[in-house]
Amino acid sequence: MLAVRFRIPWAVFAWATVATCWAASFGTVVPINGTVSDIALDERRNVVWAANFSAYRVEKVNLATKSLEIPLTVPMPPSAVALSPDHRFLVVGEYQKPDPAELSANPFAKESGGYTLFDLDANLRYDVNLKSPVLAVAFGGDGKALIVTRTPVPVDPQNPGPLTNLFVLEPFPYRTLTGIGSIDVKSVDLPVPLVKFPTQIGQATAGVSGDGNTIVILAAVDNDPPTTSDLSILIHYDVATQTAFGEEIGQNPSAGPRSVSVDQTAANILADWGLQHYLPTGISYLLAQFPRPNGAFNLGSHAWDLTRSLIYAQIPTPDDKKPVLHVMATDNLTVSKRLQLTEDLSGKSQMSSDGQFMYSASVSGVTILPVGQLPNTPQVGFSQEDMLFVADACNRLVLKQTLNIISLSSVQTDFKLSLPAGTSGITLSATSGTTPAQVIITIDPTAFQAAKGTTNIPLTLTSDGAVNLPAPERLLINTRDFNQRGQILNIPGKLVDILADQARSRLYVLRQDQNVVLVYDAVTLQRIAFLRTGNTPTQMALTTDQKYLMVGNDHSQIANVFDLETLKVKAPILFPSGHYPRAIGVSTTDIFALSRAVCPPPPVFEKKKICPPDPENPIPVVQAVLDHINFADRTADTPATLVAGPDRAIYENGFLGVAGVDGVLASSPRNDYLLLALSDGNVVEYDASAKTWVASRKDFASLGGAYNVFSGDLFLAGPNLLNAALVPLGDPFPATDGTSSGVGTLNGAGLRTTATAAFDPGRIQRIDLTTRKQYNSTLMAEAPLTQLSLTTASVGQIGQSISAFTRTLAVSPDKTRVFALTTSGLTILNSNFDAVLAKPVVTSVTSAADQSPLVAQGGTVNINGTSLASASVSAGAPPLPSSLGEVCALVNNVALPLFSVSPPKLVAQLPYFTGAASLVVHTAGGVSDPFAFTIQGQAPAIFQSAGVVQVIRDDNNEPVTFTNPIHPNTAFTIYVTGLGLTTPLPPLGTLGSADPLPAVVNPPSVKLGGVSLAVISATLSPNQIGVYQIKVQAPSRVDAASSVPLTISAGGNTATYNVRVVSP
Amino acid sequence: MLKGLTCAAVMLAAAGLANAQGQQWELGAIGGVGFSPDLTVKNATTSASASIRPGLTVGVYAGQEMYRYWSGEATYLYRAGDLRLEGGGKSASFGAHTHLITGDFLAHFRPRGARIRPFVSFGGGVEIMQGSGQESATQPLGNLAALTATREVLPVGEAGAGVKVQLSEHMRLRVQVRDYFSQAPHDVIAPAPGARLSGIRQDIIGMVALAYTW
Repeated sequence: MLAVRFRIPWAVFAWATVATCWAASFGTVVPINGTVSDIALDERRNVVWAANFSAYRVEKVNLATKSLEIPLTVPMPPSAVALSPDHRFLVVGEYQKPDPAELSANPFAKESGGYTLFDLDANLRYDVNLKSPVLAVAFGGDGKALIVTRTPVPVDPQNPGPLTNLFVLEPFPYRTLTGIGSIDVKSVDLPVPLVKFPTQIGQATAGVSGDGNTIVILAAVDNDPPTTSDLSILIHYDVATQTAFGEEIGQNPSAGPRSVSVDQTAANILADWGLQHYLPTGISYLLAQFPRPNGAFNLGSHAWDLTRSLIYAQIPTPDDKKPVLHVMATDNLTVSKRLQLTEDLSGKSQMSSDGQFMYSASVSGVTILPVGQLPNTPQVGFSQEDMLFVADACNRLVLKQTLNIISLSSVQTDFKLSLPAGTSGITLSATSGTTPAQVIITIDPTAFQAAKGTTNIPLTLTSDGAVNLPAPERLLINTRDFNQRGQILNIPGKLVDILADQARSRLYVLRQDQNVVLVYDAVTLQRIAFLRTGNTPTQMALTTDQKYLMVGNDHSQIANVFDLETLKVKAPILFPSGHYPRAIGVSTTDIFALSRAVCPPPPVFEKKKICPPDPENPIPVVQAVLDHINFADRTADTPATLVAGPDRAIYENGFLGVAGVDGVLASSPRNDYLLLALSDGNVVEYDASAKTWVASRKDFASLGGAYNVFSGDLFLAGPNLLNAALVPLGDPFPATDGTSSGVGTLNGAGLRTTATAAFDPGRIQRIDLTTRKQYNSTLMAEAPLTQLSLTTASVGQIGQSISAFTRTLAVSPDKTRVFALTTSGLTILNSNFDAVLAKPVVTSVTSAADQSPLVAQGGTVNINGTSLASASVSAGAPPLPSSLGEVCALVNNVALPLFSVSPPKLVAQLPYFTGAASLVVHTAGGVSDPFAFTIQGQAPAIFQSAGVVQVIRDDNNEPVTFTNPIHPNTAFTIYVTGLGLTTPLPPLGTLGSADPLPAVVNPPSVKLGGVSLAVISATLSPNQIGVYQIKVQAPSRVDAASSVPLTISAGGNTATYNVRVVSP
Repeated sequence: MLKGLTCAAVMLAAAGLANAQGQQWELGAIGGVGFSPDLTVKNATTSASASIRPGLTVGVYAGQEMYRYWSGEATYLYRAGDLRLEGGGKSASFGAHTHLITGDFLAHFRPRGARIRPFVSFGGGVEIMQGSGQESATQPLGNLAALTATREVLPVGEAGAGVKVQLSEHMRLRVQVRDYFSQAPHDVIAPAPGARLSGIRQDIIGMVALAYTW
């Protein structure tokens, strides 16, 4: 229980450790006295031109010396800078013109601005006024610069003409400026309050596609609202046609950082924290977004590495302590690496043409990031994500596994390992070192035996020399009892959904943190494919023909579609702007998606909802809607009622929720009914025969846990069964079961898993679908996942969207196995998981030596009874296990080392204490009733083997028998148990020292035929456990007889055995 | 016990010698091969034969022609012969030998002085059987009997027949067969609890002796 109690604090601690134990940093900062508004990379001169907004100059940052050279001065604050592709012309956009009059009421003319064109080869400059602040400048592949001003103005201020704020500047030969259109944008006037940065003033930035054919400008439509959402505009300028269009985007949080990264052809544009994909048809959709942006305009940046198809991004999270650069996939923003930055980036970034460097405007100036050198930059990591240690409720033997600490580059580096404070039971062979290294993790299961499931301990890896921030290793320690069913298959990651493919004998497991569907063979459980999803996938669904798998995502406005025959990606389902499909329900007539909806709302809601929410007037805002999917067209729409068309539902669409509405959709086995369950307690039923949503109730304050549609007559939502009209059917499940996790159907009966805590054993039970009663509740090897166990502290921009509802159960297509998502990954149960096994019964405890009822501390005993084991198993080499063949025995809660187990008998060693004892035996059949007996201090008993007393003649090393009798003057050794304590005293289940042998504290006396024998020694026997040896010498005169009593006395107890004694 | 029996045999032989004072004496060495019929050891369910394997026998004797047709002599024989248990397809062997010390009377069919003198003999003494093998807890047929490395003294009777041939004035050849009989040796061949060793132990020894007479 102790380990459990600390679990959540440990998790918090782990991440706090990551946050506070910083590694080396990545990137070199060239400081600039001022604030940088934009940069332009000049590879011919090996410099970066950095617009120093507050210093009225363009800094020349020498990349070789990482120092500043003589800057270019400009008459106004430089808001943007761009270099022509031939590296000849530098265009500097200028913001607002200062008024030289000292006491001017308008120190900057609002409608002023311009640009300066530098001919760097000819060392010439041309200053041009535009009467409008210039917000952004970028060169296209044609060698012409796009200039965006805030206010539409005539091209020639001296000659009024059409007003425009998009201009094309052809720098050579005639410095021609052409107006091409007007798009409304906003910016902040100067002067500004203190601590205001250029990206918060101009609020615009530009990006250029790799082919130079598209320029994308991100600009503001609102004036940088302080905290809440704003409207921005993304201006697409086509270089070839010199045309542009703008698309407004509303985002919450704000659309920061002000950075635009474009791929080779502008098919994908990463603007602020959203990755937009553009189809050739002109349709675009949000492919993925950063899950946790803080929206600040002045912090963060990103760049598209066309060479490696990666995105490097610093998108600050609300809880960032220090800046982190994420290395991410370009298709779904999956984080592959996190690097510690030297300082916060701020605005524009550019990649070098060879992909070796990323240059970024940063808070101190310009940061040079040698991304091409990452393979040679110290980075450290684990060779695996999880380590699973499988013990059991009794096992006292330590478990060891080797963990490899590896370099993620060609460079060795230092590392440090740490466990949460207060962790006990885990030992590391080394806590620091240099990569590559192997560290042996030793687990003492006794420290975790209070937990009957799996305890998760994070092992944190840090490095002074490495620049990356590795994720902690999950140390999973399973201490199940033997009556807990199922085998554990470790699957790392945040597993949020599971589906069985009945047609293909496959299992689909949704791993949210890696944005992937893991495809397993349902028979071999070999992983056969990865299917990449959108960002932060939440739920899967199969089409009714079982040909396609759909995946909803919480940070992509698409549902992925996969062809299950080919396991190939198909065109996704596009959702309305601002809709993130989290759950998909498939019926025979329609497919619906429950979408998280964000501002701005679709027009249908305008009349009654406010967006963005006003903290002063908290009117509820729509947070979820039911979208209708047109699978053929791969589109989704949002009807005003829950269904569009002639069969409109009587219920309006849109679900309110101040604290956030979360929900799921579930289909009946024949897809004729759907259940929509919301975390606020609402449940809604769809009837395919009526082609509409037919019932809606709210009988609960909240809902969460497992969900299912058994049939049109029986629904399950959390701990509730609902009838055909969604009326609750009493309280069918005891609260002591804990939180429901998964539900399924097997052979006409329902299945349900529950968990009380992540470290406890879970339960799986059957549900009689007729009587609606649960039965055969059976403990699982570990707990199935719940919202609570799935929810962890967020890490950077790795998505986490854990629903209150969980689907963690699937039945194999052949109905022979049940799969459950559990703490360590997957637990596989046989379909007869609830087969009744006989409960163990203990009838006696006897000396293992002679089966006498007197037993002593440290001695070996037989535990006799019935159903004590399912099979006969013997222990291997010492030390002895305290669990063997899924059996263990506890005396006064001390696990006994086991020599062997069999159905009628366990052979074990008693602990070192005396007096009243209570014995219980744990097996797969359960736990025996306590058996009371007494442990003596000493109770000698001579071992017998196959009826032969283990009195060994030293001269021939054979036991004394009728054919091998005792002779006068001969030495012999008596092997007994029950002589009690020794000096030294070896730990239970282990061998004593070989030299010297542990001596019996109270040596016994030995008589032969009434004649006392000289006891040479009484010690533990070498290489044996719980066995003592008494060495004695027969006297010179012994009356020969075929049966002479040999008596050993100790601790008030005696053992007498007859031996044959002969004359010489 | 052993010491007492040994003394008795020596006294018996000494008595014979005393009666032969003033008569013709002989002192000889003797050797041959002994054969022992099997004994039987059995318990409630099974049985086995217990035997002494045929073995070389050597010894010495001293005698006196006391009367025209009667003589007396004392004999010591060392009879080599391992013990053997056999039964039920199993067998066990065990090193052993026997010392025979007897006093014997010889009745001749021809008078003293004849060159060839057939005779019959009878007498008694002690037999000292010594088990000398390696005891083993796993001795086969241990459920019937234990072949034991111990010494057992038994009274023994003797009957035999032979012929003496005077080769020269002082050399005499003798050929004889003697049957030594005693009770079964229950210490050396110790019947296991529940088993019984039955039968009369016999040792039939054919011997040739060469003696010096005077």
